[in-house]
Amino acid sequence: MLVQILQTTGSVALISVALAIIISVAEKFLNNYGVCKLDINDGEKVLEVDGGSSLLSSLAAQKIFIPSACGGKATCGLCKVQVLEGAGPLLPTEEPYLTTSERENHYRLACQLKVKNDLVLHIPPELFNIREYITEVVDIQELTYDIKFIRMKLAEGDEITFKAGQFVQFYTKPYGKIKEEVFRAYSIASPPKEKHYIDLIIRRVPDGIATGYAHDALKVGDEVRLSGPYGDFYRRGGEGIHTLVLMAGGSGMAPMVSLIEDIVDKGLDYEIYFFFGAVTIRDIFYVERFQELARTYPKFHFVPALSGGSEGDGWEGEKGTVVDVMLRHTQNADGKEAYLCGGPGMLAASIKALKSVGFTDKTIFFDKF
Amino acid sequence: MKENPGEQNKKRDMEPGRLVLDGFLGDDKRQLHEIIEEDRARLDVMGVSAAALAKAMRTLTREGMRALGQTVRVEGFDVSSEEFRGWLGCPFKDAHRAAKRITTVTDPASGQTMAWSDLHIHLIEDHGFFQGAGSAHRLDPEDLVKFLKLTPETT
Repeated sequence: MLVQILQTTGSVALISVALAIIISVAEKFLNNYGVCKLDINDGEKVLEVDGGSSLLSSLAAQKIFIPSACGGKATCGLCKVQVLEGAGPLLPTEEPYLTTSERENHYRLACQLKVKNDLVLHIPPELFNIREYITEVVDIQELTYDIKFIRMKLAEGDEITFKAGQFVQFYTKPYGKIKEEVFRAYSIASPPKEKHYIDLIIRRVPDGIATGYAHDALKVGDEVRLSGPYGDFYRRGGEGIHTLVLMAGGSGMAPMVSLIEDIVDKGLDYEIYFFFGAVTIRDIFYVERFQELARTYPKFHFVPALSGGSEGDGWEGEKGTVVDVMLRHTQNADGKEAYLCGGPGMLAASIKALKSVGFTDKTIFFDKF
Repeated sequence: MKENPGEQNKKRDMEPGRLVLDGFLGDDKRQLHEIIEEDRARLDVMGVSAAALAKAMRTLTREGMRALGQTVRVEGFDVSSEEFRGWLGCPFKDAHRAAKRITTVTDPASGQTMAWSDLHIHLIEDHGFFQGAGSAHRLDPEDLVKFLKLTPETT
């Protein structure tokens, strides 16, 4: 009886082991797409990559960096690439981000498309200028209780060229519960003339992975990998434009610092109105810095505002939302362009208000992430 | 019922560090459909649907959002909304993206406060998911119904 039980148990165990081996071997073969060829821009670049990863990460591994703000989670829609052959059907996760025209022209989200076979791609040549930078954190300052300034120095002899307003991708390292690298987009807060440093202003997002890393794990002396520059949020200054209206809230300050310092550095002849909104006095920063600039640079006008200030908080500036305050100072859009940076609600309200005084889609600029 | 590969895939994205720092499941060992079904059963007892709950939450969030950080009185609650740059994806992989926005709601009569994100509303409305037991971000359906003073008659 005992022998029979042992024999049966042994047989079941053997069958289980055999099945596990078969599944494991099958998985290896079924998920092995082998080496796939990426033909870019009519043979200008031909890359061989191991299949199985997203197009975004396959290209990044080959040092071709496609803009992405969300770290490949299909929430920003920035990583659009033309895949002329080999892509297969559109995935449901891509659909919300692609217009009819983009679908007709074979655009796909690089973060969602898995490389399973050879692909023929078109990538705008300017993206080939996007590079990776290995930097060292040289300064961290607390601007508010939830906003940090981080300065990173590029490797000796390295330098970056970018337009004021553009962003970089910031790669975290595993920390705490986070077992893998993630990356997120942050606007550059330093001016373009500063080629050896990159400044970021990062606000902690509750339960945020990358902002949690920046706030809780990152310290002076740490190495940080960045790639960039990315984005089409930069000064246009079209014909007849004499005034720039800048609107920001919270960490939306970052690209504004870069834009303003760039204009001042170059002595460009623009009247600048900078409306910076915060809720309470503990949320606002750089007030003295920009008030000082307004004193020395007469064409620069700084209007900080609190929407939720209270009696006795010492605030002597304007009150109301950044949108209310902008409208108090802006009666029309003649000769003006507007540059916005903030959360989606602030952006939507600002665009609506700007259009009410005559701005159009052609004179309003903002990052879509 | 056994957890299917699709459900396992979703649970993987709900782990800490995948989409958000602390994840969505806490220390809950139940299968995803069990978590959802048990919460639905509790709502059924109260006679309020997840959709009605989400609708009430969205109304408050919308008004808070319009106030751009200011606290406003909406349907007897003090509501403020704080937003951040960027978007959050849904772990159910339905291509929804939620603004990174947190709405804080206080009932001035009781002093009780509850807070939720736009992703919370979507998870409740479209997936009936209130997050796992022990999750720092779980919103207990019963607590929510009581807090928002919802009844079968008002929804």
